[in-house]
Amino acid sequence: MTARYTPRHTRVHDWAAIRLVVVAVLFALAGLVLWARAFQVQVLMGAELAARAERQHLAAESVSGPRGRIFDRQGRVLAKSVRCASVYARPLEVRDPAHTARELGRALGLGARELQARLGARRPFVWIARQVSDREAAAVAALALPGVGTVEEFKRLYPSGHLAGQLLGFAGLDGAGLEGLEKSLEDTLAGRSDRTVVQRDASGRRLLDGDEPSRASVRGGDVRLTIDADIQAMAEQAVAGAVTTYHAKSGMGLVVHVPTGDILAWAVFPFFNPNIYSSYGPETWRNRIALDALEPGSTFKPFVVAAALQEGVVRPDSVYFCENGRFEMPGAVIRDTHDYADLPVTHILRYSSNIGMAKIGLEMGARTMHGYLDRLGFGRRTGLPLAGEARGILRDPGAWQRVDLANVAFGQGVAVTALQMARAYLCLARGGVAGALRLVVADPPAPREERRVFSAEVAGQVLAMMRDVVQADGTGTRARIEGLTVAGKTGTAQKASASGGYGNDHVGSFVALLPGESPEFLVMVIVDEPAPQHYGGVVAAPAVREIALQSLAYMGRLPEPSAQAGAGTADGGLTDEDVRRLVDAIGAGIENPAVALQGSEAVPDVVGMSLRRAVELLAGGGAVPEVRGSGLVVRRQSPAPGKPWPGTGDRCVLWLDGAPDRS
Amino acid sequence: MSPIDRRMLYHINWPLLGLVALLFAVGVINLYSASGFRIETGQAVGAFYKKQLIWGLIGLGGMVAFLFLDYRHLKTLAWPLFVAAVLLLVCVPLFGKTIYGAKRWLDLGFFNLQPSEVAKISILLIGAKLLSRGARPMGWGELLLVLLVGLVPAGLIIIQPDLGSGLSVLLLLGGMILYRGLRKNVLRPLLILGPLALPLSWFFLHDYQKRRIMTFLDPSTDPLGSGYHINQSQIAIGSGQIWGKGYLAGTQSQLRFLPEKHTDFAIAVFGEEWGFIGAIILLSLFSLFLYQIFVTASVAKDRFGSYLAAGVFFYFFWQILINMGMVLGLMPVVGIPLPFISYGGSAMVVNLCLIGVVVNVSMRRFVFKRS
Repeated sequence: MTARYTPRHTRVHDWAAIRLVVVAVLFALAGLVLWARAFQVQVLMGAELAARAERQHLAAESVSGPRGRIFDRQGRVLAKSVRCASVYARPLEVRDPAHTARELGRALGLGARELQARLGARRPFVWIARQVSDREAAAVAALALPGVGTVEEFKRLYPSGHLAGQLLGFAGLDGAGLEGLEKSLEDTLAGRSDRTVVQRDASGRRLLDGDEPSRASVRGGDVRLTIDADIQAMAEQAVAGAVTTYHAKSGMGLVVHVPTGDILAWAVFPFFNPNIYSSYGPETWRNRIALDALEPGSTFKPFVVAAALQEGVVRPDSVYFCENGRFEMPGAVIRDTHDYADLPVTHILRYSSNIGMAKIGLEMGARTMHGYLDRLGFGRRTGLPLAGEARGILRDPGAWQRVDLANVAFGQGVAVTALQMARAYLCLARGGVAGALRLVVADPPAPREERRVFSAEVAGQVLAMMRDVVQADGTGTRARIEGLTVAGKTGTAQKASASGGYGNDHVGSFVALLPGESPEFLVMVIVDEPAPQHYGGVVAAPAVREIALQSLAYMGRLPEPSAQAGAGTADGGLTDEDVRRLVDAIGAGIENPAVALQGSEAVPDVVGMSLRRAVELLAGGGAVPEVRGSGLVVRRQSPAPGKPWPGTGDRCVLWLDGAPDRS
Repeated sequence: MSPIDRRMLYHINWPLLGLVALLFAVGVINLYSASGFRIETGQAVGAFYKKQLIWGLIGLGGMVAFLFLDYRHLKTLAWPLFVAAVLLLVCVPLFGKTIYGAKRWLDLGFFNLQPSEVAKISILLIGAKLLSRGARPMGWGELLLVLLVGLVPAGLIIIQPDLGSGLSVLLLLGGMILYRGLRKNVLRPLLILGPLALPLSWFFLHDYQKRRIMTFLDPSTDPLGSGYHINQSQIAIGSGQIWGKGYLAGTQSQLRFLPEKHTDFAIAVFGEEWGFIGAIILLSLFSLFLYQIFVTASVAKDRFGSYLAAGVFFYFFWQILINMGMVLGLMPVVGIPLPFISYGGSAMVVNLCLIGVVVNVSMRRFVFKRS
């Protein structure tokens, strides 16, 4: 290495050059970084950031309309949606969670500690309280807490409380039908939603210059049911009475208008109030009438008798030996509740002899019997809009043993829903023509599908036997109504226990067709596990009678006592002829009794009036009376005349002038 | 004061003036959009662009004043102006006016004076004066003197608090020191000690400044607080994509998602509406602009003039780099505006005055030959 001389000025120049290079490199580097970053942000991440920007300033608002309403057959509202406010919070925007929680807690009556935990959540959105009252919503709005707001929602209201609760089902907080008709008619009822895209600024204000979609255009469709709220209330009261009196687990009741198949009442007890559905369990809101398939027991017998008559296997006066109450078959012993020797077919049904029925069934054969049961609709759904309707069990006849055939003949070894039972009885009540049940009033009405299963003569013969069940010395005498004949059939089925075989629990039931000559109404009551009494004729027949009495009175189908004068028969009732005449006379009875009474503030004096008029007056005022005693004239009333109308749940009782009720 | 002859006019750095005019125009046009916002009834536009025009005219006056005054006289003005600036800065905590929680202004009755802006000019002059004394890289003695002179006003500005202005003063001076160069025995320890000292500065930061740095490192920790700025500026710029959303059509700014959209984040509005293409053009304009200043610095005929121009170069360079870096999410949020684009009256006047100084240097580069 040799030392080299470098003049001073050259070194200065070198430094000047280096200096320029350093600055230029710094400059270029900085420029390059900015270019690259701009490229990255705007070109590479551009699409994603643009999407984020859109999410931020474009809010797809979905305007959802209220659910449609559910009406009863007279247009009374059973379910409707009303606007209400729900309170929410955006925790990230809440400034002082402790203070906010305290204020909100005071306004809404909620625990401040729990609220504070929710407000402290690191989430963009939490509900504080859904569907609060207007007063609470106004209080929250007045607080003007940052990060807390209210939003409009629709709340489902069932103005009649538990009325037809299981049938209606319920809709959840977000407005979707979850159970019952609310679920099965979801397509019709659900509010339509209309999406609009609106611009929002950073503080959330909507900037919208187009037209706002109107709520009306997105309201769900309304549904009108065949249910009559008044008859429904009467049926519910009667079923509730039967269940409580006989300490039963639950009960069901159905009222059907025979000519149209319209279901007028659909009662399930214990009651279910869909307004507060969350305080019940699935057991309570279960729509048992359509969902529970049970062994029907004796109420099944009329169909087997009708089939045998139709096939010519028996005549009404064919006599069978009923083995004195004990009939041994290979694999089973069949018993009767009373011991009978020889019984004609008419009496087999009247006394509900299992042995007699078994012999009829055995004589008819499995395929023939199955054919009729199939045509009556057993084993098939009714086709009503019901979520999860049971099909029941009607096994293939090829698999039936003789003992199975005998069992089916008196209602064991098959499982049917109450609804299927009603449909099958409708066929007998209509002179042998099967038709569909109706639950929803369609517009235009759906074409009726009718098939003849039994001849009119056979249907008439079975109906006559059923009249004897009530009017003669049959099992259903407690369903008698003074002034008209009732055709009916009792049922007392042993419940199959979990271990197989039959336990000590029973299902008592009663089906009535009335008037008994040319039925207009079908009334059915089923009481599950009554105790200590369990016979259908004891536990269910009085409830059927109560429903029939009240609803006939309400509809103006109950004979007036004056018309009855001098026409009494030996047992205090009317002859069939009289009743037919009376029914015709009253046929066009007052259709809307409520009109005269609306606005009246006190209970009218109905003592001395005919039962029919009294029920009309009271039902018109909203009080469905219980009827005690028999007869057709009111002797005593509660509440007393001049008292204010009883509220829901209060009792209203009418005592009749006749002898005390046989029960 | 030397007269201005034709020869001087000939040597004026016209491209620089043209670029400044262009940037100013872009700034005002962009401000018109940035001060607009959509409301329920349509669109409203704030008055910022008008004010910016007025400030531009005032700045033009300042620029012309700095043109006529031969820059060599500035050397003699350097110390008096420095003393005046420091006195004004000392007055701020005593008589200052508080706006947005910071005492930065002196109320002079007819307008609010921001002494930090005066300090910027004075630092430039005093830095150029001190550094132009020698030509060779500096030793410890000189460096400490320059730092001492610079740190007094910078410290006074930072405690106002105005970290942005304080930093830009320091960066201006730092750039000039870099331009002068440091001896190896000074540079080496500094390169080692500098990074070590950096973490210590953390303890001198305000809470909000610490938070800004934390959220810069992870914006999602506070999307609605200080992370909001970073997120929103990136969303605005990025959503412009390649071609932009079009003038006056930027949704993020017009719907007020973008904060400080007419001041520190004005470039985000530009990026949203003009896209990557617009951003590249604007960056190119700034590059040419800085290049012209740098050319002036390198062709200046005396060291003082060269250091003046270099100081102005670094002054703009750091501001552009920091502001764009911040808006593009490369740096924490520091309140440093983008020259000519962001709204700000005194900054506009000072910027134009500094341009006047640079043009002054460029047009007088042949004057010395005669004298």
